[in-house]
Amino acid sequence: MTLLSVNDLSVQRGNRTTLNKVSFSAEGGELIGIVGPNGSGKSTLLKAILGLLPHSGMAMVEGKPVSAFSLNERARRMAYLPQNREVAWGVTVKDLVALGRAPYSQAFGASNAADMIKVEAALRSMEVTHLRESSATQISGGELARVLTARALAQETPLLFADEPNAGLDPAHQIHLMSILQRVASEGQTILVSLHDLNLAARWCSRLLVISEGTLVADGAPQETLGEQVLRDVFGIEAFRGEDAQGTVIVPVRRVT
Amino acid sequence: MNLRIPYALLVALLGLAVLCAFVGSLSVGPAQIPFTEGIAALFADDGNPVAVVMQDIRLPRAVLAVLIGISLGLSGAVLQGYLRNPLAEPGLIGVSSTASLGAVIAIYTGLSVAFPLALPLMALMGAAIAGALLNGLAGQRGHTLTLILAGVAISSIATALTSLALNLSPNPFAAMEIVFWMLGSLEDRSMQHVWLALPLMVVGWIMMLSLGRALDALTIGEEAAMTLGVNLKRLSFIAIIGTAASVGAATAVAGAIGFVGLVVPHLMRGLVGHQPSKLLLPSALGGAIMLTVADIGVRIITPQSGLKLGVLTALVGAPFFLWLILAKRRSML
Repeated sequence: MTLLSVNDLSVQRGNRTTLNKVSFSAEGGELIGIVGPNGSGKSTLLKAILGLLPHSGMAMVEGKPVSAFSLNERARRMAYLPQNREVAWGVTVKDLVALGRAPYSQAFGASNAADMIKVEAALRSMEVTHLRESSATQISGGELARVLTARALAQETPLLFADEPNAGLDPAHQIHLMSILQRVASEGQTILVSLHDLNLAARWCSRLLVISEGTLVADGAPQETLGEQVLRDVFGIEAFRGEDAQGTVIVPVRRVT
Repeated sequence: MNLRIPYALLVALLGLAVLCAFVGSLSVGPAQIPFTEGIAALFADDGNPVAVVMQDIRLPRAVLAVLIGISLGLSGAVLQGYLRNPLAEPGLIGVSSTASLGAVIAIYTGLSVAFPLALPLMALMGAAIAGALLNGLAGQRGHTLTLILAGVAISSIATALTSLALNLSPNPFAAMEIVFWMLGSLEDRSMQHVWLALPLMVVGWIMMLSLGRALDALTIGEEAAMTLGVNLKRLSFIAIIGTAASVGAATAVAGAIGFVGLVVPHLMRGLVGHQPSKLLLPSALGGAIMLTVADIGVRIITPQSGLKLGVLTALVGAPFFLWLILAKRRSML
């Protein structure tokens, strides 16, 4: 059964169409990058699939429309890492990551031992175990980004939607994050990640969706989707392209007007 | 403020403190009654003067202080968690001011003289109207900002109408009575007040205590909370109606008492690791302690002049709050 299938998904905001009949499907274990210029509809696509925005068309998970699942059933299938890293209170990092287990806990039940093991594993994989007792409002932006990613990993859903998880991370941690996502995908989880860095997208994702003005214009392996024409027409840039042992290298060099 | 003690111990200690404050409240008053005699008189049914004082005057007062304190502390913690704003308190969403307005109308029209229970009943009606309006205005999509704005608007309208009643008040005594009532007090309350308020308060408490996990999830924002399975519409409904029921009932029997709902969650937050769910019970107990102690203070400081409870909580609460903010700022520098 197809894990995720999206059919003619459209989002209307006022009289503007921010997402226009996007269709694609995804199987287990894919690391799918969503790329496109600012305002092209990357975040809108993720939110519409999650059911966070009013939309037309349909997203189906495990063959069933997302709207047919209860909120809790959705939370056991799709995790979401929003672009804004909001944390209202100075809760400890450990308590923050443990929120990822919320969809599994019984009413009034505290997190059980099995949940805590998963929380520890998520902390470990994002290399933030040393922060576990720190207050989430007193760690650096980069640390918070990793902690919130650990929160989403702890949710252990078949699908993970990450909106710009790399923003504000130093190069080493960007690469680290992408490698974690790749590893998680290799273990069977399917990840949709919106990215601005085309080089990271090309190197780490198994497949890219290119979105321009709300429309899906290309869908396929990075080498095919990020061709010279797409870079020029969609992104308005020319880029240096090369290959190394790990794959494609794309370095934007100038803007074309 | 980041001392962490085990949660169960904290709750047990606070529970014990509520008990002590309650017993303390029972033993304070103009009549000099020895402690053991007073406690024994609570259970006497021979109608002697000591039993009357204990059962009809002190007991309702002490019980109401605990109940109202729980309502204010708990709804403060829920609203701060729901609105993700440390400045939120029950007064912010307009429930207290509409309840006050209901009471003021009862006084203004003379209904409260003809039928004493008209005052709390009209106040409850005011709170119910506020709850329904808030839910209609803000509950549709459960956005917190809309709730704050709607609350401010409702609150302003109620305050304006209260001022109008004062302005047009038929005689100075009516105006005086309105002002005194609005200051908040537990004087001369009966068990009838307790039975009127208790059921609504308990319903409100149960609703609010059920929100713990949803409030925790809301720590990382509304959209992320939804993807953790939180139904924002339901959350908003329960937070609004729970607050309206318990704070409405509190205001109906005691007038508007400020600062407890704002200050108590702040005091407790550091003790529970800032987790909204763990803040609920300690804030409820802390509210009961604070209000009971304040009500003892009112009786000890000025036994004759009748200092109003709401005035004392604001007088003590506001400077203390200022100190808290300064202390917090210092720790952040």
